[in-house]
Amino acid sequence: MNRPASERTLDTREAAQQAARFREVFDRLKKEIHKVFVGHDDLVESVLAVLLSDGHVLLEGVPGLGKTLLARTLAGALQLQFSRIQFTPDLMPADIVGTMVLHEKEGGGHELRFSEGPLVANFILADEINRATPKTQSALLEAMQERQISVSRRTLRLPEPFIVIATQNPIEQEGTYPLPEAQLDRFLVKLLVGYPTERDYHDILERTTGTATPTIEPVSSGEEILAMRRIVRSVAVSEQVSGYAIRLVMATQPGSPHAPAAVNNAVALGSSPRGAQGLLLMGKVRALLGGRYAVSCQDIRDVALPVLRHRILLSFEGQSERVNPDDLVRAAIGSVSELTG
Amino acid sequence: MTEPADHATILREFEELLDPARAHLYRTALREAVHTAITRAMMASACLAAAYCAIRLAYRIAATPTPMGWKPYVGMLAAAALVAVAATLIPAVRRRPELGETAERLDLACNDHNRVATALCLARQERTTPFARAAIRDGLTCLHMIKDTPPRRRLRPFDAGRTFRAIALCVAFTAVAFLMGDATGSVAADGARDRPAAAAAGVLRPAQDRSDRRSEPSGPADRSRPAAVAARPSSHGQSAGPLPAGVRNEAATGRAGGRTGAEASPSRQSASARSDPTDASAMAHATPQDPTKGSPPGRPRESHVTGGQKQEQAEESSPVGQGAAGGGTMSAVRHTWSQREQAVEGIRQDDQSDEQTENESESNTQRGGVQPSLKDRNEAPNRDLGISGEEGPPGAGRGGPTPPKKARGTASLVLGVPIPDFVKGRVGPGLTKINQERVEPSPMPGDVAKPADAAVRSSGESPGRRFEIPAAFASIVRGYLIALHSSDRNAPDGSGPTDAVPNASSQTGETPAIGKEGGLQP
Repeated sequence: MNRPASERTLDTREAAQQAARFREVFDRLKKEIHKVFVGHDDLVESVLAVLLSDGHVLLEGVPGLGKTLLARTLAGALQLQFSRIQFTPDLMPADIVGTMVLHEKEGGGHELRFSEGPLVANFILADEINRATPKTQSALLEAMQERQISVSRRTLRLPEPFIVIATQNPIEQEGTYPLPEAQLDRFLVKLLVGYPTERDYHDILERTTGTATPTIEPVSSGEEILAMRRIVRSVAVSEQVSGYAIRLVMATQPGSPHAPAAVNNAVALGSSPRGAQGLLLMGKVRALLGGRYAVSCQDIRDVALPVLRHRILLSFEGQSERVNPDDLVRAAIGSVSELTG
Repeated sequence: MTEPADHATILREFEELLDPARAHLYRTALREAVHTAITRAMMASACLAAAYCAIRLAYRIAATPTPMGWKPYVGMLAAAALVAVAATLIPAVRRRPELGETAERLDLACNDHNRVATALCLARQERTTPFARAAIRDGLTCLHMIKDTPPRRRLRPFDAGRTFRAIALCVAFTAVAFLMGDATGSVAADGARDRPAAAAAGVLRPAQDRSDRRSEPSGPADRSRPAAVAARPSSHGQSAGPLPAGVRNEAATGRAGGRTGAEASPSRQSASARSDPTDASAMAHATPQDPTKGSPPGRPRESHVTGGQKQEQAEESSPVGQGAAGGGTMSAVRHTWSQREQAVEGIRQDDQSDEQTENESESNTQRGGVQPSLKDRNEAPNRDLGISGEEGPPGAGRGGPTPPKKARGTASLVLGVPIPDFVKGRVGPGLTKINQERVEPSPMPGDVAKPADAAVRSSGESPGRRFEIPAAFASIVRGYLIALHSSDRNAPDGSGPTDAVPNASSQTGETPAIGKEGGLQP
């Protein structure tokens, strides 16, 4: 029997090697994190996917579920410069970006030198980010999108890879400042941290109340993360799938021809183009993890909830009826067809 | 990167593999088109039947024979159905499903993560990356396995309900048209045969009336019709504006009155456009005076009235034209609002007031002098705070209706809300007076607690002396106190007692242990 033309002409070894390497690094990181962080396999996968697709994560959950622990563990598993910023109401932008400090010269006299803030690092843990004022929260905007900070007339390039993992508490709204839309839009995903299962509880108690303390070893470096990001970006996307992602994003925008009635009724502002970018990037990671070389519509659907839920701004009607943005994303998924015709 | 030759080879391979699915899609689309064509054909026929029915109805109203018979009608029905079928089927036959659509539907059927469609899309691109090549190969491998799977295309079910509704409508309209044709005989061939019968049945009454009317010689009423028509707008123009609603309604009733329900048929309406003289006279008599005073039952109507006479009649008979005092000659448009309000009552009270005036003048004469007429007595001006110019009789103050009264104070700021300008209650009640009764304390009746005597003691005693230490503890307490104050004895200034027993533990600062015998243990 003759071999098909595709087998003769298409060399897939390079892509297969890259995909295998990606999965190997991913599994290594995941295993290391699970030494400390128990359960929530999908949460860990999503955080790693964001790390490898060059984005930022917003973790939301009630206290005590391990949001900070997950971020710290991930930082420990990577050979990266880690910086933790505890956001408080009196935190100022200069406290995280850095400021000009007067130094004494050796030969006499004084000079102003730039003293870097904690934002100049690879891995930023912005703990309780909604406790800082919007002024301070906005100091992250430039860093998260353009990977640089500007102080006075000085622009400082941030080190690569750069990732911000922010945590916030959904129930303590007193004395907090909800993140502005521009800030929310810069997070690739918003992950909701839920309660562990009964089995996970057993593991948590065993690891945290015994004498043995698990230690985290760095299993990956910054260079490797950057290489993984390049692999993610090289995953193929067909016009059908990209069109599906675009229609899905448009379906979250009220007044769009693809928007369902629920979106038109309850949404004031839909997702931005960053939502479509996020869908494709996260979909690429899922395709690689699924052993495929191209993104499928199912990948887009799988990542739609974490990517789009924080980009939907509810209208007054939606807020008064306590509409859940997740339901709106599901409605948008239900209203968009895979077929291009 | 693939070579161009390989590129074409890969696309050809896709085409060959997708061919069975494509054919399946084509057949499904054709079946769906046949279903749609049947429904559309029936709907087109129903529309044509409805149009034909409407045309026949129009011709029947116009009493003109329909120029189209049944045979052309049936032919047009068939033609409409054929056109609808052709318009639906021809595009469906000509349209072959595209490869991309086939691949997408095949992916949907197999739920294979869009592998085939993605591979086809990537294979069509000129430049390919390693991942794209891997995806193309992956898609082709997948396509080899699923090529015989029917692609997912949901066949829309035959819309039987819609089709049967269309058929029923078509039949119903045809039946109606048929019945209309039999009754009027509007088909050219049957017209001559059916006309006598229809005329006998009275169906053709309007047309017959019209033809009869044409044949009648024109009388004086016809000659006066243009003048009456010309006078109508002017008289209406004068009375339409200030007429009270009730009066207007009565006038409108009067205009439309005199016609029975049987006469209000469409044919009658068309005929009334060229109204006969009796209609004109009816309009002239349709004045507002009719319902109030009313014409005598036996009063003959004036059938020959010119336009100017009608106008005068209308003004005289109009209650507004009579004015507030009744019988005034003031034009209706110059009446003020107060007179307009009085107009309706004036209609009813007109006759009574005239009689009263006559009676009072007679009584004054009989009393031997002219007395002030009580009728002219005016009501005192209303000084209540509120809004003037409301409905009802005009303000009884000087000069008729008054503008809204201006009042001072807060009440004027709150329109329509009566607020009293005084406060009910005592004026300046002053401070509250409290009466206090001075009563000497006296024992309450009942049991009284009696004080007990305290322990008797001498004046030099302290209360502490009364606590007797048991003999068993006396030595222990003594030893404890000695140990406690031993530091005082060893004080550097030597002020402490010297008769105390020296204790080793006191030098080390430890608390001395108490032995079983009550003494201190070394």
